[in-house]
Amino acid sequence: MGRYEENYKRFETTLNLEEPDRVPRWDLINNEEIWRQLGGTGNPLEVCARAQRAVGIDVSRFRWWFTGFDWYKSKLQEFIRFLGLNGEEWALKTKGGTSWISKRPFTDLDGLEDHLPQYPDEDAWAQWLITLYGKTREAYKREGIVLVGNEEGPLTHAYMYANTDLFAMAIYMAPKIVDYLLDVFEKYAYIHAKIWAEHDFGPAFFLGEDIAFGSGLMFSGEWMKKHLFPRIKRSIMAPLKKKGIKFIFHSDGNMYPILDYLVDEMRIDAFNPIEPAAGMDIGVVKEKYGDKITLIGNIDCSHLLPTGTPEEVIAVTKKTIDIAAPGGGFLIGSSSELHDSVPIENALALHQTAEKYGRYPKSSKTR
Amino acid sequence: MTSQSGEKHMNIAAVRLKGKVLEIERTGEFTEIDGERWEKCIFLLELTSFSKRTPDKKLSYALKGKKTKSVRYCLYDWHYKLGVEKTLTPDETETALRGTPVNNPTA
Repeated sequence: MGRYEENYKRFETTLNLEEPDRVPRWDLINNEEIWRQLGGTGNPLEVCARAQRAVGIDVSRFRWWFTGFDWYKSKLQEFIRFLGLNGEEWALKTKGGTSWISKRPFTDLDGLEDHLPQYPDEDAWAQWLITLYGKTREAYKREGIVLVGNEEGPLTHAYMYANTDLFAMAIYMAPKIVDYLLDVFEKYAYIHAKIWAEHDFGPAFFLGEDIAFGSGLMFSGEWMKKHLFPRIKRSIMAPLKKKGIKFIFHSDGNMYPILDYLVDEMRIDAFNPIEPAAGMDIGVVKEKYGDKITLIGNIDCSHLLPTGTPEEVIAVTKKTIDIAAPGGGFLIGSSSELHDSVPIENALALHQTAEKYGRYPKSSKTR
Repeated sequence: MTSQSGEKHMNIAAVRLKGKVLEIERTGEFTEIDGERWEKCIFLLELTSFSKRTPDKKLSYALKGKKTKSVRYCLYDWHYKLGVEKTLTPDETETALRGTPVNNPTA
């Protein structure tokens, strides 16, 4: 069995809450130093895949290589191409590896209403995804890495598009605009999930829907239960579940107030990243939800990975495996991504430790 | 899957039973795997359910709570944790489903 097949089996076993031969390693590299030192030069996709393998990643959701690794830039380009935005009216700023929208064609609700995105061009968006995933999956497969489908949720896209302050204001003052934005981005994610499922690109799909801060939810739970979660369930989870593809829900922040709902009502299959810096305790989450969902991530990329020593990273990695690995259903990785502030030695300390220390009991002398 | 007689039965090879670890007997026998000494242990498991792999399969009352033993080789402290759910191998599952749980101390 090759590296890809082994990783695929490990991942699938873990998603089914069973123990594979070792804890699979999950991550996303968003770090120029790691790309350069471990990925070499050439086609950004090949560089990315080689760097992921060199760090020791088994499963990854990275798919933004086509604009030279910049997630926000890629996202904006997708919106321009598929949602009819005028590229000259939008601009990004980048600093320290992080980008954000620095110019929008509106500053108030009236302006937003005049510059709403179009519904996605289904054929063009679908064709783009098929090409993108086809190439990415092949490059990852050559390096033995399992690719996970990846999209932002309707709410994240909506507040990112409008700007969070304006979006929050719109919830009270212009609910029709909010509904329209959520409709557009629901359709956008629906097409994405449908394409992933129809083309059998992989065993899981990741929805990044950042709905929490360090101190709790960004939006009221009741509002999200009415306006957001039904959209996710009918448009994103439904086409995936129909094909037996597992649904990974991601949100940074303190998610305790909504986790019961996500697990028991939404019936998500996996949760990421269980952010320690936001007060999320992997032991508590494992105890309460470990028999229902797969847990992914948890190694702190806010403080530990950027500023800790390799010895500290190794100690936390081992402790996390002690707590979360028994019984299966756990993929270890950073609590979001290996971003520019994470030194290579800490990225390697995490994933090399997990490779050895994350081995499960064996059922025979040879396995 | 439905047989010619119309009897419904499951594809045994595709299903896996799960059980909660009640006890671990450390045998003191070690085997070397990749240069490390793994200890042969006998896990006493209480059957709880089928794996999520087959979400529609429900454990019969006859099997629920039944105890079975599985051999595992352990290395790290976290391997000896009690109370966690282990998944039986296909062979162990097949044996248990045929009504003769592996090394069942109560059988």
